[in-house]
Amino acid sequence: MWWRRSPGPVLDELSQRLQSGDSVALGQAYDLHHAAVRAFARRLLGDADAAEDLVQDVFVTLPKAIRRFDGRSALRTFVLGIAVRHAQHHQRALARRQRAWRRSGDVERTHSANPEAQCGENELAAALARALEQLPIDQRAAFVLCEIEERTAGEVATIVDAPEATVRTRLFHARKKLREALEREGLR
Amino acid sequence: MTDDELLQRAIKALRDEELGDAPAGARHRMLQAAGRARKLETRQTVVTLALGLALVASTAAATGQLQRAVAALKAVVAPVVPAPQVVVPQKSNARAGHYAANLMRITPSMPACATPTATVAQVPVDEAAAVSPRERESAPHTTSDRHVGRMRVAPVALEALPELASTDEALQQFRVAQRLHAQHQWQAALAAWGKYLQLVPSGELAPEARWSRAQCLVRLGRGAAAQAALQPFASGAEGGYHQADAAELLQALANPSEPTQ
Repeated sequence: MWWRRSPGPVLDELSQRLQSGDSVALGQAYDLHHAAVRAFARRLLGDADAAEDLVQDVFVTLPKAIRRFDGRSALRTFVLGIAVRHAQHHQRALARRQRAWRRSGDVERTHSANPEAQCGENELAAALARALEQLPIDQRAAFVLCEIEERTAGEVATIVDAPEATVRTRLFHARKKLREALEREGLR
Repeated sequence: MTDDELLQRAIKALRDEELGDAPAGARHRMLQAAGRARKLETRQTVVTLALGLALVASTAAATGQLQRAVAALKAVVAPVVPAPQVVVPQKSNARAGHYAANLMRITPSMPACATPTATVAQVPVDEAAAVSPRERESAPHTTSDRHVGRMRVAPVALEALPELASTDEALQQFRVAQRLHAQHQWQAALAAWGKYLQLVPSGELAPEARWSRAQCLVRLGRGAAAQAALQPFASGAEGGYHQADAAELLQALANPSEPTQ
């Protein structure tokens, strides 16, 4: 029953200052969390410039978004949740741009696979990044957060604001598609 | 190497990949953009509020409700107007009963206390009907009396009145009663307080109106009615802050020959 619920956890000092609109606190939050957000954005979007835009967007909108933060999760988890939502917008914009490029006859980035070649780690990472780009954004976020950033399914569920079972399902489908994609590239 | 092993290798490779540092000035740009966003949000809030207020005001003006809305707003915003207190010389907390004694000093002699016949909630519809002919003749005919006289012409049954009269009308009536009370026109003030209580029998200012009405009854020497009106205050059922004064007045009314100290 809602009236029997225990009161929510107390916000930490930084979150409280952010909620009160303290711009110094915003700078501190940036210093603490920008690297995590940037790394996540780079892996999720696969593009350094787009990732940088995403980091900017996340921290510019943080003072407004923090009003609904109740302290039940870590501030970093909350910030990454903002990043996921912004990434969805970025992804839609990117898809529109790519459609426009195709219509204008631009050549898409191609990759010449060498089926028999023993690939190096860099090639393997690049192949996985390319395969990730083909995934729906929800599956991509689940894969990056769970597999690459090694977060628990519960934490990822909080970040993407979805049930844990949904996260596991997305992860399952993502892994399956990525295995197939790597196989298609002929990597060994 | 199986597909799963290949995927695990790829994951590890991507995890270990160097991502590079933040570009120079990114923090500064972010803080500047956040400041601009905050200003924009404040501006949007102000504009939205102003537009909303303008819309409400224009709608009220178009429907002829503007004055009423302003009056209602004033009633909400303005502090509660205290009921007029009878100016009693030398009123001091140092001497208990001084207030009642002073009030009684200018009160005409009255018969001994009788059993209350009505509670204060049951305000007589026409206060003038309860006034003795001698009082009515002796009262000077002032503008205020003529105003009160108009109120006497068309007494309205309590049952017929709406539970809540319009705020501006009730406030106006309260002010009229206040003015008459301050001018010591007890008879007219009594009628005016009665009229106000008919309009707002259970409003925020109703206890003060009842208290002032009880004072008028004391001043006019209508002992039984005054006692009935003071009883709820003395018992603490209403206006607890007048309890001590009401008790003293009741005591003084019960023993008019003994000076109250």
